[in-house]
Amino acid sequence: MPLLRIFLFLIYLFSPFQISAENDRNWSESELDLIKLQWIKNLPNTTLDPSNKFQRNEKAISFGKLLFFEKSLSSNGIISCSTCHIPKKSFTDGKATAFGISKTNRNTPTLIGISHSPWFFWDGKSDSLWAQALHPLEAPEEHGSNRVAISRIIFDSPIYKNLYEELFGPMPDLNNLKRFPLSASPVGNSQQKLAWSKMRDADKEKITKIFVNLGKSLAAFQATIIPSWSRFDYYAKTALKDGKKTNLYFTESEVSGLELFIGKAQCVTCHQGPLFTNHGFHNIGVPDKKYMRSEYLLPIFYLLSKKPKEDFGRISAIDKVLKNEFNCLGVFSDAILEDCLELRFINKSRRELLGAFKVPTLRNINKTAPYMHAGQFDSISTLLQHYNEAPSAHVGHSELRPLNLSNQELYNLEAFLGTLDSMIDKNKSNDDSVISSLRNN
Amino acid sequence: MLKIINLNNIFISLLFMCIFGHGIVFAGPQLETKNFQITYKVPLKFSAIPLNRIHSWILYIEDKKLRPVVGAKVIVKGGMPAHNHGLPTEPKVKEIGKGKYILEGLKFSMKGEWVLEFEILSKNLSEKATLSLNI
Repeated sequence: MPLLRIFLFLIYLFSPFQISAENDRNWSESELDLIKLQWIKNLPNTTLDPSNKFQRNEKAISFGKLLFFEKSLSSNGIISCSTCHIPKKSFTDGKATAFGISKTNRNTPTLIGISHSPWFFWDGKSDSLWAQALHPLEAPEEHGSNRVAISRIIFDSPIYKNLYEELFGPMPDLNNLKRFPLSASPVGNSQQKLAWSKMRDADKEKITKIFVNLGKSLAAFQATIIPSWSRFDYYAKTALKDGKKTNLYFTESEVSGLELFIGKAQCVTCHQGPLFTNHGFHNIGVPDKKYMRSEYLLPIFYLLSKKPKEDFGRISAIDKVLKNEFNCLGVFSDAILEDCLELRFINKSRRELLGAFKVPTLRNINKTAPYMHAGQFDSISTLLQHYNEAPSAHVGHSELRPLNLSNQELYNLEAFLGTLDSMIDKNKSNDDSVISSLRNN
Repeated sequence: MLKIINLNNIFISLLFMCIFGHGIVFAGPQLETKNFQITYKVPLKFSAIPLNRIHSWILYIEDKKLRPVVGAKVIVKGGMPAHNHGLPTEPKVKEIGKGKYILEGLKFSMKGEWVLEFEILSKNLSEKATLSLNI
């Protein structure tokens, strides 16, 4: 009998069923290729922005960090970049749409890993991190300030003036109110525009240069905000070594979720790369806020309320970025023509880009609710339900097709997304002690 | 649709050029159409077509008698039919030599099946051709 048992065991061991079962527990070569693409090891520390020669300047990074938390740059003195990009909330604010001086129409995206993106804002209306950083400072609903007032904040602060001049050279004498009014900007309100129009061209250029340098410092700091390894990255490291689906970093549900992510659910099509985004723009039929009756407690409130304007996404941003004085090809950019490939070959297809928004990173997705460009979904489960059902788009044409995933599959997918949480990589971020020493001076 | 030129083809092309004094000798994958032969090449710094990175290709366009097609207007469009979207950029083609063209601004933003549609408008010939690529 023992011999028979051994014989039967050997038959089982080498049977096709056993081999098949073993194969099921191993990732295929093509699956491992996709997992490798998502692994954080493939993420460079920073993507160098040729339009900002100060990006890796240590002093600019420290100066930018101070500016990031500086509330006096806003018109009411209580708003800073960190008001909406809250470090403890993965540099988001937990709100559907951001609230600076007043309510905006867009959700606050995370800044973790942001320097790797070729486009900024949900619609990509800026083509560099420094150009992006300048926009909120003069936007009425965000900082609500203007470039002359902001330049004066730096000029009037001995610490800031000293830091600025060490980096960028002497500031003009802003005490001369005839040449430099208290408030002026080419994009501000009518009074600010009038004041700006009365300034000499040379002085306008001096002020805008200061403004740009502050943006480049803010960008230098933000480029240091890099994600550290998540549980997925540790899982991927082991799986890429032994090819096995099971290891100590993932539960069975999370493994199944990863299978779906790179397989049946097709998430990896757009959420591809170590930041789980291909940085592209796609229309996925996210409901426009204008049509979201669920936002209102009673139908009557929906009927009576003033609806937000329809948001056409990327298509509305093309002209803005091409005409932006702060774009890669502009006079304030440090780039040469050959560096500005994204701008020179920008896609302008209306069919493609109407209602399209930037593919966001999925790293730290657990900590960055609500989701989508106007915070349309308040949880990952409602977000996944949208992908599963793939409703047609209010604006343009959705690229999604229904996934027909079961509840268990949706649960597994959500479990996998929960493995993408991580902290900021302190080794690559700006040293806090530098900031402390600057503040104490 | 996609054909890789082999050593025999290169030898024949060389021989052809020696005898007739024209024809482009260029090793690279080819796309054959009714009227044209397009040989394309990714810059040497890339071992394969790069993912999510804007880059250029060199195109050699010849007619069926292996004579370089000069002064053609070439329009390149494309996308991923399975995902119902086009290219993430708008590539442009300009002539940089006799029958030699540079295709700039090409980007493939994800893995999968892509198509590139070439429209060649020459003096007396015009034609569209599609190249399938698995990135």
